Amino acid sequence: MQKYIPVIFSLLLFSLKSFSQSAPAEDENIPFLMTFGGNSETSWGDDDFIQIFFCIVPPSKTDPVYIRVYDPDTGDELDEVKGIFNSVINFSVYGGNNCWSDTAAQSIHPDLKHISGFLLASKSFGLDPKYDKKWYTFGPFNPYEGENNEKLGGRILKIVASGVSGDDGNIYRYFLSTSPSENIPVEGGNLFTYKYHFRLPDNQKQICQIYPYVDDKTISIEISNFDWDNDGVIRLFSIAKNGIMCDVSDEDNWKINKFTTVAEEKNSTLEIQFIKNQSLLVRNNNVVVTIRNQYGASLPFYVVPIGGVPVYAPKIRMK
Amino acid sequence: MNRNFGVILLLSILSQVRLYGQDQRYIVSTATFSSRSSDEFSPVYYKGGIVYCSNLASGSLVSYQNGDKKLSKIFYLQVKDGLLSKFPKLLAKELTSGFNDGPVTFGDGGNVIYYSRNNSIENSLRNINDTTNKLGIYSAQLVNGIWTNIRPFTWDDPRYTFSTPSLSPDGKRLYFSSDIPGGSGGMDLYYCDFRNDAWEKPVNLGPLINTSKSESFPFAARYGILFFASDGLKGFGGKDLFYTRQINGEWITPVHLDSAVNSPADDFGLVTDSTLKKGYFSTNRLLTDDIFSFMAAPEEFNNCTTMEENNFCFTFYDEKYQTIDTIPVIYEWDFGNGVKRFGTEVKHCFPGPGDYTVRLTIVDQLTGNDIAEKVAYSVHLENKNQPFITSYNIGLKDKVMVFDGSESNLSGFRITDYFWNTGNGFVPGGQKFTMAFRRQGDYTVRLGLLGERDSLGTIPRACVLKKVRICDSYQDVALRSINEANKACKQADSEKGEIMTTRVKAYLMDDLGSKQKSNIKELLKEPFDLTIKFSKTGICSDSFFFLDAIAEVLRQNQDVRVEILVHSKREKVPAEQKKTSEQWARLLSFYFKNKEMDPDSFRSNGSVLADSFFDEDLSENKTVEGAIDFVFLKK
Repeated sequence: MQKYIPVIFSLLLFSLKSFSQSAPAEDENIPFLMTFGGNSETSWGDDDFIQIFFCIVPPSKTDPVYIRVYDPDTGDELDEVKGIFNSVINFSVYGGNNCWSDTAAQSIHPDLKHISGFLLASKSFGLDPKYDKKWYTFGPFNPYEGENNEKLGGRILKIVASGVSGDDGNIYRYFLSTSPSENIPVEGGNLFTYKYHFRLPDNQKQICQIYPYVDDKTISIEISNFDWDNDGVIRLFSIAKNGIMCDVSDEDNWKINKFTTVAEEKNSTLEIQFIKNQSLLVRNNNVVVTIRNQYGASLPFYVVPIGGVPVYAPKIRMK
Repeated sequence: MNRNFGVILLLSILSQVRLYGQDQRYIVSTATFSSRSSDEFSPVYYKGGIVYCSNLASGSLVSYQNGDKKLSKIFYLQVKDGLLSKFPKLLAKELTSGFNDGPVTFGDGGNVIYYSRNNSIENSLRNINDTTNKLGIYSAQLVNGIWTNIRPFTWDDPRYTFSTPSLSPDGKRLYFSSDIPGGSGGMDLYYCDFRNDAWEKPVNLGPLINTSKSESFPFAARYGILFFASDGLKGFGGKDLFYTRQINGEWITPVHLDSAVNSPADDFGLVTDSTLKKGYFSTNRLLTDDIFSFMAAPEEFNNCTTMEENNFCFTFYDEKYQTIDTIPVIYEWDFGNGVKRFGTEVKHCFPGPGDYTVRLTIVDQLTGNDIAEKVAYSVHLENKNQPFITSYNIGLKDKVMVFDGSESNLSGFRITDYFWNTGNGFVPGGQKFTMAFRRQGDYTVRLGLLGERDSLGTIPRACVLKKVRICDSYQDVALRSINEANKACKQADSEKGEIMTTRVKAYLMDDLGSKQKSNIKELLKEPFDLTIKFSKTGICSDSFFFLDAIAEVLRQNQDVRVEILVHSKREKVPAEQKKTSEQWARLLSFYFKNKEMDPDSFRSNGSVLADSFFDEDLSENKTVEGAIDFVFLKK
């Protein structure tokens, strides 16, 4: 792996310059992240009521950074209500050693009682109109408070959204910014997660995609999707895969698809594409997606795809 | 003329010639009719005997001196009882001038002569040792035993020398040497072609042959081989003998004849018999000009390999494509020239050797976006690196078959000699070789090629073999026709363009058993559209019905194969006809190959209509643009 670090790092730097660091990213075409209250039913689309994102701040960046949350409260037209809004969602930012490198931090089954790293900031949001469709800013954070990791190309901060109570869905977005009041991207920064909880757009014409990164140890992958509600198709693209269909989950269940990877897919980004059902409109569809390698280790979804969006390169042969 | 001959150690005994640093590939000896007391040179075969030049006293009234030498006369040695006469006589008094006469060359079965002589033959003091009295070329016709109508060659010019004429075996080309202006210097070799009852303007053989010194004494042998003498090309010294030939319109670099034909003395005036295996040449290595005879050792080619057919038809596919039929993508393959094919695996036949670019676009059916756009794939096709015999694989007893080696493709190998072997050893030949087999059966035809000697002195060699079946007779299969001639071409792909229709016939060769014949007739008894239609690069799908019936015949008769003989007549130029015929033949072969037929059960052959196996004249048939014969025979 060592020999690929400079490559990954340079790819990161190259690819990030032209992207902003919002999660979900604009190019993913995903409108929002989602986390449900701790008393919710998983059939609403959130399997564990916790979402963990990591922010990468490149080594060159020494000025403070901010993690901004759009519409952090649970209680307006963006959020998903069950009965009346009664949910509390906590957002906590962590830094320090082990905030990422702890094995549990990368698990797709996080234990809320044992979140690794050093707590830098935390705030819980319930029904609070002053945050409706507004940005709340965590920080400033000194980048040196993050966990340094050469492999990932910078210092890592972690933000955990957890459903403390209630049964409503909080719909929100993140932005890694250099400003407390504006969304100014951190040059060379990125965000990633190992378990992507998001809300699909209602517009059936919209196509969403997320970008997991396959490292050099990967020989097969296992893509899991939760509570897709049969809302169209999920496909896998890569430099070597031209849109292989995945089995899609129905209501409140997981579907797992296993694919082998080829040599040229190592150290490259995949694309998981979501195309909504064109004949039947499914509204407010919340989905959870994970991807693991043959060892069961989670692979990260970067909001800014490493090395760019994969373009299928057919291998023409004649016989 | 064979060049690679075995080492013959008896040479010095036979001819008293020295060795000059190379293996001897000829057996040479002084000709029995050559004397040590006078000069003899430039023999030619004539009516079983030999005509040559000599300064032997002729008994003529005048015998002017040419420097210290006597003037040459044309002598004739007749054959009696299979043996050359020992007593030369003048060929003809009417061709004897008292000045220099000869060398000569004969045409029209010996009834036409072209010969050199001094232009002015008046017996006057002015002409004696007159350097302006140049040699010219004259012709005469033999009428009632008398050479008449003696006249100068069309392009003769008394200001310049024209000499050493040699007619090609077909009499349509006259080679000669001349010092007319515009050459490379000294005497140059020229030829004139006879067209429209006239000799065309002389053509210089060019700088590959002609040097600043002299090239002369051409001899046009069979198969387009031209022997000549040069003292400008690199040799052993003096005049040396070389040969060249035109291959695909280009003269090959002259090939130096080995010792013992060449020596440091002057070696010139070579002539061979029709087999190119023996002949005579002239040399002054024994001080006077003498005629030596030579024999070539038989040529052998070992390790002849079976000829492989060229393949220009392929299946294209995306190696990464996952065979999951739920992937909603469209694969669009652009083969250029307006030809597009669709599918994850497509089949395409290229028209022949060359460089092509295939572009693949993959369209996502769900989104309408391109997953991959015009991804280019370069295809370089060339004929297989081998000697190549173009011919039918079947023939009829006593009917002449043509074997053509002109499509041989050997990189780094410049062909100098063609040798053909149909079972009786290799014989020299040209690019084309004809043979009428007298008995039915299987024959192996071998083509051996020699190339230009490399820098280490090695002569490259290559050889292939091809099997042909000679049959005694055949019978037509009475096919029943349904009239589908006007039906549009159904193409799976979006190809547009002209549709070409060929007529179809089927034949049964006599080597099939009666049961096999009956079975084949039975399988082909249904009415068919008796045409096969081709688009620019494919077979129209409505022609598949008949082809599938042929395939069924082969499946049910595992010991039967089909020869598919394809002729296009849509082009006017034979070369273009052949190209189209070969393309159609490839498409048909590819069709059967993709039916997973036993590759030994079908072969297809494209050739010009003039070479039609069944002597059919399609020129008046305006409804079809070609003919396809399906010939069934035993494997």
